[in-house]
Order: sequence, then structure tokens, then C-alpha cells
Amino acid sequence: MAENVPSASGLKNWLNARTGCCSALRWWRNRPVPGGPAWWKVTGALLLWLVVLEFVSGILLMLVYTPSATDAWASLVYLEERIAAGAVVRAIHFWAAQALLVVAGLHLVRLLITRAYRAPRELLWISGLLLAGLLVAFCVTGNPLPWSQKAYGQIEVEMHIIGSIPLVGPVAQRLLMGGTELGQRTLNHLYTLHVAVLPLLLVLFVGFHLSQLVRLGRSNGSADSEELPYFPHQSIRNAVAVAVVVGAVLVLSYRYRAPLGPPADPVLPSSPRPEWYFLALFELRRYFTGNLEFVATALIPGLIGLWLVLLPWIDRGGRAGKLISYATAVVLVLAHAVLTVLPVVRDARDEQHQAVVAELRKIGSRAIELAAQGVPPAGPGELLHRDPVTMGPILFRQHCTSCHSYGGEWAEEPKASDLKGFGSEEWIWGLVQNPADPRFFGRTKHKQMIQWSKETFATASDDEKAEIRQAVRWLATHPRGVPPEDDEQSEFAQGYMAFDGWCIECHTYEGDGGFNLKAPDFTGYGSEEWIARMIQNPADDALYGDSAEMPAFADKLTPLQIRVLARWLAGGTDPVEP
Amino acid sequence: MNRRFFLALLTRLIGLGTAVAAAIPGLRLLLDPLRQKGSAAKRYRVAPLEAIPPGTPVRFAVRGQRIDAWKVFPEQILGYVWVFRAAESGNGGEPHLRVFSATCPHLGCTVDYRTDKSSFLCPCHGGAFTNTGDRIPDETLGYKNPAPRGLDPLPYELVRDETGKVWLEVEFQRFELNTPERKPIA
Repeated sequence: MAENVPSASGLKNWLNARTGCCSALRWWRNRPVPGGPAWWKVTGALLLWLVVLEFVSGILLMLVYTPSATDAWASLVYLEERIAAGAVVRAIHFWAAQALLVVAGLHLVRLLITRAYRAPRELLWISGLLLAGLLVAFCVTGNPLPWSQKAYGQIEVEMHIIGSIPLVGPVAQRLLMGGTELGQRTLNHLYTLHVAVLPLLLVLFVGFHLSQLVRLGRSNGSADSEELPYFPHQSIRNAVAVAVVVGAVLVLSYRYRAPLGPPADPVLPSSPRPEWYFLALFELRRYFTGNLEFVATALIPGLIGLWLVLLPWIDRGGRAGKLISYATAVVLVLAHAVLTVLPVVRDARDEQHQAVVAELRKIGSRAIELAAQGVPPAGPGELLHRDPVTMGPILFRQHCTSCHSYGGEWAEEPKASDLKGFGSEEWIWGLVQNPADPRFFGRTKHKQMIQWSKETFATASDDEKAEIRQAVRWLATHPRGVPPEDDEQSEFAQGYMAFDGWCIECHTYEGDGGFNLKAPDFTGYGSEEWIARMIQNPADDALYGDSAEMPAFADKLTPLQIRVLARWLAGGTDPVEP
Repeated sequence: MNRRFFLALLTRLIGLGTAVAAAIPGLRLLLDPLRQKGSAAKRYRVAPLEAIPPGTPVRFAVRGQRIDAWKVFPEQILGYVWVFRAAESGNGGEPHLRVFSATCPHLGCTVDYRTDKSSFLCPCHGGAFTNTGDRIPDETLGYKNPAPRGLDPLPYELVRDETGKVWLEVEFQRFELNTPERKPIA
């Protein structure tokens, strides 16, 4: 065979002669598995490949995610709603992180039980603990990046926990936060740590961890079994485990998106909880309040860390050593499990917390629906502030429920009408039939309508009641203007005439009526504009005048808030235009 | 086939399968820009007719809503157009206009108008066009004109508003660059 014919093996030899890569690979594959291959030894390889999955999915996310307080959340909505496989890639990053934490826990327990920390592997063990610390740092810096309401709440608490660490806390907090309060610089700091500093450290520590692992042989197993080469005897087990776990991550990712929720905004309700892996610390903090808080947030976690770091020297071998390692594993796992389950159970029973969670879920999907159409440069908050569906209930509960109920709810001691369906045919007809019902004027001082209903409506014939009903149906269309002279047949004209017959004595309409006594003007009654005027100043001459019981809100709410609230009460769902 | 060979093959296959399955969504995200659409032609009110003097081209900004990924800017400059109004023929008829995109069809710089040469000149690589938007031939120019085609003409309409003022409205659009034929970016 001619020597200048290129062939795969020729290229391989050429490369190997210059780099030694093939020999290195062969050596790497053929290194023995001390104690023989086993299924329980797959955790290390699993961790490695999950980290690779996190790196790749993380880099892909960086193509779209934007670390800006006004853009972060919106960029993720865009990623998930508008970009092919965007939601899946973000979900992979999320689910692989969850898997990574679980497998890291298993890896730790496995190494504790096999007492893999003993001499000469002390530094291997400590580098592993540092890697676990890095994992926690990845979580702390990664979770707030969406700048969602939940993420903001979490990082706010976490920053103050860092700040409460004795001595170094306040300085560390400021450096991390990039100033005195959460904001754009915080996000930049967290992002830089998450995508540059921590990955670099991770690569360094993993490199050290792996090189020492190979140098020292794997953890101690019995030496008597024949030593099989790593590839393929351990590799096949690793491959199967990685395929199963990555497969599960993929299935979860196609089925469930990573959580997002509404964007961070001070007007939204908030009841943040840490992620499941930090719940144990959250629970621990409940038992140490006031000045002792640092015991839970810093001292106990610090002592556990110290105990683990010193374990190679605490375990002096023999039965005592075995006992120490087993006890450490059992106590850690049990304590973590119990402290995690307790707050979960408590939250499940806490109706108020569940209500906030449910409301945030609703606001979140609404916010995403709106933001999928684009977000103003000022950020998603502006979008929400203009949205009656989101802000209506929030404003109503902040400003109206000291008097008004809504569908029988929200007000503890209602003093005025129930405003659910206000201005609808059903609502007005209910009022006409029985204004004294607590849903209407029963709780107020307005007596004239009650009197009218008793004297006029109650004594009306069926035909007359049908006519009143027609006026009610007409009013529910928020009428404006009068029908032309020659129109007597249209529904509008019929309704107008019915109104003219039954209501005009007291209620004015388009500048007419109110001969008997002055009741609110019904031009455009129940429309967004009418309700807005009512909120601004109920004592307006065209509304309740001197008899108004409701205070004016013109100075308590912004013009935008009044429009949003009025639109919501009128049943509108479209965001208010700028 | 011995056991070791079989296990090695199986390991490779499982590894490859897992990698491919995980790579598919990543590739789809990576290639997403290929399936994003350009903005379609849209009409914008550019200037009142009275602001366009006959005889010499005037440049106007096209302003409108710009959507940049997730961000919606209510009003931004989307691009520039050159408007050339021919000297009035004096018969009082409809004024005759030519409207061009100010984007040089070579590599996308914004072209200037040179009054001394009565022609459009691109500041980047010297693309040159007559004041009617045609590509100036190399012989006339004395050097190789890098522009592959003339300036891109844009459809327009003169619209009278409710106060009687006449406005120039332009169908603004972007075209593929550096091609002899004119192809809208879709």
C-alpha cells in the first residue's frame, strides 16, 4: 500500500505522533476500575454529563436572555413564546439543574457511606465539597435571573441573609448587590457570576477532582476482584444511567416548562418561598429569630460544612469511624428531609399563602399572554399597570373593599353595593326589583330608589314591568344620544321611550329630565367613562351630588389607575392605551 | 463478537443516541433566526408636500413603530428616504415625485446627495446614482461603481388630510443588498 494514501488510521497515527492524544485516550479507557465496575459508581459520570448539559443549554439561553431589569423577564417570554424550542431549552436548563442537585446529594451520600474521604483522598473530598458549594452558588445566582416576582422576592431575602452573616456579611452583601439596593447592577453581578466566574471555577475544580480521582484510583473497594478496564465495563453502566436521567430530563422538559410567573413589580402580591432544596434552611430559620437568626442562616450551615471538611480527620478508622460516617449520612438526609417536608405541609394548609400562589399563577399567565405581543421599552411593569384584568382586582381590594364587596367577597364589612356585574342588565334589573337588597342600596343611606321600587314598581302591571325591563336592557348598553325623531321602532328608540316614561322624572339623560328630584345622570350609565367619573368624584352635580356617601378618589388614585379600575368594573379586558 | 466489543458498541450507541436527542432542541433554537420573518412593507406618512421643494432631492426620516425582538418602540426612525420632486411643469397637475430608499443597494450605508454633481453618492464605497436614482455607469463615473443596481424606488401616494393638507405617504420596505435584481427581505 502506498504511504501517501490518506486513511483514517494514517491520520490517527500522524496526530498521535504529534499530540499523543490517542495513547492518552487508550490509557484513559483502559485504566482499571478498582473493585470492579458497579452500578452505584455511576453518580460521578452522571454529574459530569449533567454539567455538560447545563453548559450547553446555558450558552443557548444566552443567545436570547438579556440581563436587564426591564428586559430580563420579557426576553424569557420572547424565548418561550416566539423562538423554536426556546421553552424546551430553558426547561432543560431548569430540569437538568434539579437532576444535578439530586444526583449531587446521592453522590455525597455514596461517598460518605463508602468513606471515600479517607487518606490519601482528603483533598479529593474537599474539592468535591467545594464543587457542592459552587452548585449552591449557581442556584443562588441563577434563580433570580428571570427577574420575576418570585425570583426578586427570593434574592431579596437571600441578599439580606448574606448581609446578616457576622463581620463579613454587610460588605459581601453590598459587593454582591452592586450597591445598597436591588436593581440593574445586582442583575449584572449575578449574571456575571452565573455565566462567567462560576463556570470557570467549576471547570477548574472538576479538572482537579478528576485528575486526582484518576491518580489515586477510584474510592476504596475490595482489591481482590479482577481489575476490568473502565471502558466499556464501567462506561456501559454510566452510559445507561446518563441516558435514563437525561431522557427523563428531556421528557420533563417537553412536558413542563420552567416556572416563570409574573415579572417583578411592587404592586403585585408576594409570598416568596425558596426553591425546594433551600426549604430546609428556610424552616431552620423559623426556630432562630431576632439576634439568633444567624444561627440558622450562617452558623449551622457553616458548622455542617466544617464537619464535612474535617471528616477525613474526625474518622480515625475502625468501628467508630464507620459509625461516624454512617451517622453523618443518616442525620444529614433525615434532617434535610424532615425540615423540607414541614414547611411544605404547613404551606399546603395555609389558605392565605395558597391564595397568593394561585393569584400569582393567574397574573403570571396573563402577563405572559400580554407580553407575548411585545413589551414597551419601560418594561413589563408598564404592561401590567395598564391591564384591567391584572390591576382591577388589585386596585379594588386596595381602595374599594372597605365599603364595596365584589361577588359577595373581599369586603369584611361592606357598607355599600356589590359591584360585580355593575351596570349589566342582570345587575340593574336586580336593583329595580329590590333596591333594599344589601347587594344594592340596602347598606346605604340612599332611600329614594327603595321608595320608588315599593310604590311604583311593586304596583306596576305585568305590561308595565315589561316596559321597565326594556328600559333596564337599554340602560345596560350604556346609552348615549337620543334616537332621531322618525325612529320609533329600533330597539334603542324603544328603550329610550321606556326610560323616558319610567325614569326621567328623577334621572337626567342627555340634558333632559330630573324634574322631580335630582338622581344621577344616566348618559352613558355603567360605561367606563361613567364609572371613571363616579370614582373621581361621586359628589359631582351630575352624579350623587350632596347625597354622595362615597369619597372622591381623584386625588387618591392616578388618572391611569382610575381608567384601569373603571374599565375592569365595566367588564373590559383590553389594556388601557397610553 | 466478544463481550467487550459488544459492550463498547452499545456504550457508543447509547451515548450517541442521548447526545442526538439532547441536541435537537438546541439546534432548533440555534437555527431559529433562519425562520424569523422580515417586516413587511408598510405605509408611513413621511412629510407634507409643501416641505418638498421642486428641483433638488430632500431626505426624510421614516418614523413609526419598531419591533425589536420583544421590545416595541412606539416611534423610532426606521430608515430614510430621498424624495425628488421634478420642477413643476406648470400645468397645475399632480406633482411628479420619485421616492427612493436612502439605503445604498451595495452594502447598506445611507447615501448622500451631492449638489455639486447633482447625483447621489454613497459615503462608504462610492456607489453613485443619478438624481433619478439610476446607477451611474462605470465609464461616466471613471471608476467601478460598486452598486449592483439603482436606488430602490418606493411606492408612494399623496394623501389629503381632513384639513386639506397634502401628505406624502411612502410604502417603506427593505431589499436584499448587493444583488442586481431587487428582492424584498421576507
